[in-house]
Amino acid sequence: MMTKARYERPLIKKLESNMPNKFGMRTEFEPVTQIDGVSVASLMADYGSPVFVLSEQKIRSKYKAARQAFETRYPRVQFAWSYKTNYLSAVCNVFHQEGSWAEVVSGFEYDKAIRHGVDGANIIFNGPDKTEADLRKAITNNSLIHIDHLDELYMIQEIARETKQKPKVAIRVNMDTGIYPMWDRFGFNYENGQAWDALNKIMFSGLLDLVGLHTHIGTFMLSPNAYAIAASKLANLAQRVQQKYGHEVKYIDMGGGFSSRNTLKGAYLPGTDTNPSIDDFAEAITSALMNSDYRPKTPPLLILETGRALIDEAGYLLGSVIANKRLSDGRRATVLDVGVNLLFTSFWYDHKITPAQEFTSYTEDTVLYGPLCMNIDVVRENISLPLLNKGDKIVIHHVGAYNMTQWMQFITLRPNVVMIDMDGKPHLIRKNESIDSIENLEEIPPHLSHFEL
Amino acid sequence: MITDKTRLMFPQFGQSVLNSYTQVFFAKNKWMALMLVAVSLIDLNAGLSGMLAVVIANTAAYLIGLNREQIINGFYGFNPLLVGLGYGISFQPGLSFFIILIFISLLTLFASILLAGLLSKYGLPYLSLPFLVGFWILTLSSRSINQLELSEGGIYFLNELFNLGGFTLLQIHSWFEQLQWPDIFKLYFRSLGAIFFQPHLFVGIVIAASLLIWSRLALLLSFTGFVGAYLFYLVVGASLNDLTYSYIGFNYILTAIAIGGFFVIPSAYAFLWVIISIPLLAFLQIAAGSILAPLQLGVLSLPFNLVVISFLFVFRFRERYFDKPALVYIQQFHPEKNLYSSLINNRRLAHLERIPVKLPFWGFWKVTQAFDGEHTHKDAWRFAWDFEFVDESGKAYKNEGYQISDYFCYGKPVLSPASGYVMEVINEVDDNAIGDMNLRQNWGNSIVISHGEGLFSQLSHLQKGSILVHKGQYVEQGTQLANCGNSGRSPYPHLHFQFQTSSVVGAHTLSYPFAAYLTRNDDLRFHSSDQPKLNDLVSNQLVDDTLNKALHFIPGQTLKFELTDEEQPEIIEWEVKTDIFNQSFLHCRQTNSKAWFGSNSDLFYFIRFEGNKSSLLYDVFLGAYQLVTGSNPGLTIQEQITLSEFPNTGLRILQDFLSPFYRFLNIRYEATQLKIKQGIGDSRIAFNTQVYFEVNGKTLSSRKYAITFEAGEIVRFEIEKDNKHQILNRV
Repeated sequence: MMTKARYERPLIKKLESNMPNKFGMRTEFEPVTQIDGVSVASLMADYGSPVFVLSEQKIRSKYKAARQAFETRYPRVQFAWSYKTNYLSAVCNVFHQEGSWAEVVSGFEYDKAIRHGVDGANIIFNGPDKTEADLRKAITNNSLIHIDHLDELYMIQEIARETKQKPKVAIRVNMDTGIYPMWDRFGFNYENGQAWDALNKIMFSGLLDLVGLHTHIGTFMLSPNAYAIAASKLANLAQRVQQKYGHEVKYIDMGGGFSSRNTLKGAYLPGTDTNPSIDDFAEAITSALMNSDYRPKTPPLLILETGRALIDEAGYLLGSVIANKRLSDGRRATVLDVGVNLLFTSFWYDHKITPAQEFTSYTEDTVLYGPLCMNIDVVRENISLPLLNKGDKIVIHHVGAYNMTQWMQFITLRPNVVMIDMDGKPHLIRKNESIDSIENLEEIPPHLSHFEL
Repeated sequence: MITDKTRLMFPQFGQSVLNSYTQVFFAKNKWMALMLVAVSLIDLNAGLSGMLAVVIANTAAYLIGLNREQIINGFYGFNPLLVGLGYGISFQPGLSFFIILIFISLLTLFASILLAGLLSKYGLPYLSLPFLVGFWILTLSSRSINQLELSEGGIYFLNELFNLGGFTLLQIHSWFEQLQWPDIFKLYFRSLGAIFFQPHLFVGIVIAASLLIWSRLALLLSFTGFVGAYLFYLVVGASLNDLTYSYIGFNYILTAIAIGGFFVIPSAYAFLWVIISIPLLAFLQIAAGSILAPLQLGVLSLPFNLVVISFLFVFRFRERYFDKPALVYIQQFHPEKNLYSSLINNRRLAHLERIPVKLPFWGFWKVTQAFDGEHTHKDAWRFAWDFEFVDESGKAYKNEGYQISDYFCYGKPVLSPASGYVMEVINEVDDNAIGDMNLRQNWGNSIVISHGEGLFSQLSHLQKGSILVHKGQYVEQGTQLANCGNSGRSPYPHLHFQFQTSSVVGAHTLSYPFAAYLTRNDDLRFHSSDQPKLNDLVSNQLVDDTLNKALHFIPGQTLKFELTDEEQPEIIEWEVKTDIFNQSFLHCRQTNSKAWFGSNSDLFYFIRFEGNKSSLLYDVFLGAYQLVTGSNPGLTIQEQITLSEFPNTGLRILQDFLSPFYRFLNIRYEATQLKIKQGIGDSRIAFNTQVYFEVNGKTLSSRKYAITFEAGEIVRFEIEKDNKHQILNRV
């Protein structure tokens, strides 16, 4: 059967006569027409546009690769799923099925983990804002509380004294690992002695069970060596506690922050080529621990709270072209139905974006705008894409982390989220919002209930 | 103080006397002992004389300060007993009789010690040689002692019977004598009686009954030995007179029990050796008879002693590994018990005599070449393994696998398999490109570690420059030695591992097992003292803190449980104790039951049980018979329990008779670890265990148990048997 040839608008391109560079003429628009065997077109037909798609198979294989990277290098490893990265219940449960514990940073996330059926003893409670009620609940459930500041420490001691329970605690330690910016707003500092001071307070009080040490040195880290420094500093603290109190710290929690395959804004080379792999981080952390002086009878459990590196690549955002236009300076602009309201991470990354249908090899530089009536709504400031028409479909890659937790209900409503299972069958895991989901929460005072124009 | 001591001493003294009687047949059994004592007293004079000899010898041994355990076992008493019996039969009692008895007992005791000293260094028993020494010296010297009067007991046996038991006993005796049994049976029983110097049918039958009570196999063996001798005499045409007149046939009986069931694990091979012993005994007996005849000394048990000792010596000289028949190493004074426990424990407790070696890596690795492998594990180097790491899909590399760094195992830590000294280090061979091989330095970068006792391990093809240890360094099990690499004869990264007999790189390999590991092929399996096979996915098991702590019993510790039955809750207490052999056991004071247990880093297991089988401790013995100390939810282990624990006595007796040839009974133990709650220091782990008593593969009865561990303790033990549900809660 004959199909009608696609219309592509005419393109005038300046002939570049300078030296060919080593990156050649390649563009990144190789079309992605299916995800795990399900066609992008059918996904958008069934679930609308835009739509988030998660690949269960990618999540599991990423997780297994990460576990493999650590478990072949260190005998006792435990992952804890970082809820803030993506706390959709289906996603969390995939990780819990794989054996991950839960790492939460608020009372809300804590309750969500409990609702998912995670045993209290397998929840790590991080974060600077834990209310007294949160703490009481966590202590009763035998959860692992990572203390962020002295005020929290005092509160926990107060509760312990009152309820005669012995909470299981760790302290969060911040430190100089040679990277900039140094994260020193969470936990206790290593270099100035705050951390050691807090450990002494815990050990002297006798009210708390110091089970671990925690650090989280930064986010989207590009230097594995920083983790090696952090691991040896934590091991050093553990060893000092053992020496002074004869008390064995049972685990060392290295937090997360491993980079995914995304490309940071301003990076010269694509992240897929330059970002360290999970093996690089594993090698740095485990060899630092193995070479440390902390040698209890059984090696301490190594806990990892990595989120982004495990889920980013499993997430896709599918959208459509609303319009093409030309800006005042002559640049091409494309308006999508996907904007920063859904793609919060476009503030951080130059997301990889590919068309979902075949094109000729001609491309044009364009600005990608979202649908919002706001100037900040820019998805990509400059991207070379084929000649898109209204209604064409695009796939935004590596969006699994943070977008489904930091998205905004702003101007538009949040779309469907779909997960493709191991057999290639899509499941709706979060329904799109309707006007009711917004208005049901609202209340109108009687005197504002009607008006005439 | 004194009362305490005597309270302990009297039962022990009683035991030592009774055991001295049963030791004649290599047994330790109270009922058998009482029957033997009774039978010995039929000739009152001889019986008392024998008992007195035992008492004198054991008391002397105690006062001299000989090993207490040996005295209690009756090792020093049975030879004086035999001398005393023989002496009592031969001579009339009187003052000089008793004086001589005292000293001849002492003489026999000393002969026992002397012979023990001479023979034990060759691992040989002294059997009844001291009796021969004592009795011959007595016989020879008594001729010059005028005060001793020959006894008429042997001659007027009926009179004595009448004196002892009146007309009734006489009637019993004559009834037995008139029995129309085939000669061979009569002779057999008389020969049995002759062991106690009373070659009478009645005595023989009582002794045979006592053998039956103690051990079915011993009875079967004794009969086999005797019938064999009878047939041999008939076939070769030797004078049956020897057997019929002097009842010397007991040599065949005792030899059969010794060779077929006591020093050797009963088996068809053991029976074969019993048959072999018969002609030798006959030659020795005839030969010894002609040598000793001029001296007017009896041959007595000389052939038995010589044959058994020479057989054992021959067995110990075996160099080729062929343990048929196998010697008994842990003597339980019971042929069936020795057999049943060796059937299971040779495999189950094999790790006890081995150096505990673990796999030299973390995580599950795949065996890509095993023993007699297709590539390089051949001839003198056939006992070796190659390990590679593969992912879930079975691939050993990522990307295309053109770079050595694509291989998952490349650069991964390689650990010391056991503690030991680093003997050799090669650290300067370059890693090959994929597909290339360095045939000149074929072992590549290697480490050899000495684990002691002639056991060395070699790890090869390591990454260049990754070796963290130096020659002469002592390393603990699990220390990182180097990284997995691709040096030497290695076309793609893998770890070569072998046990070997010397410290030279590339020495001849040795077949040696790993202490414990898990395989994850189709399902998760636990292996103790085993060797990985080709394509196995293997890993060390990670020991769980809670299980490890809960199953680490400290001597002196008391385990207290509350039994919640329908009636009044009851407190049950078990104490952890150790005996002089450094064996630990749980002791239930109320029922005086003991359950011996052992453990290593991967396993906890019970070894044996002694005492009241209706006690709750017996259920703990069965229910926690073997537990793996790692956290492996879903893991099921199967084990067998020694058939001595089979509850149906009738079936077990039948099985005892057939045991060396055919076993239709089985006790199967199965333990499954349930899904666990795991946390930091407060894991909760549960096991469901079951014991099946099977006849011909069909379950006759079973018992179910559920054991729960939490926070480093056993918190709950549930028992389900005979439609009864009992729960023990830790208090």
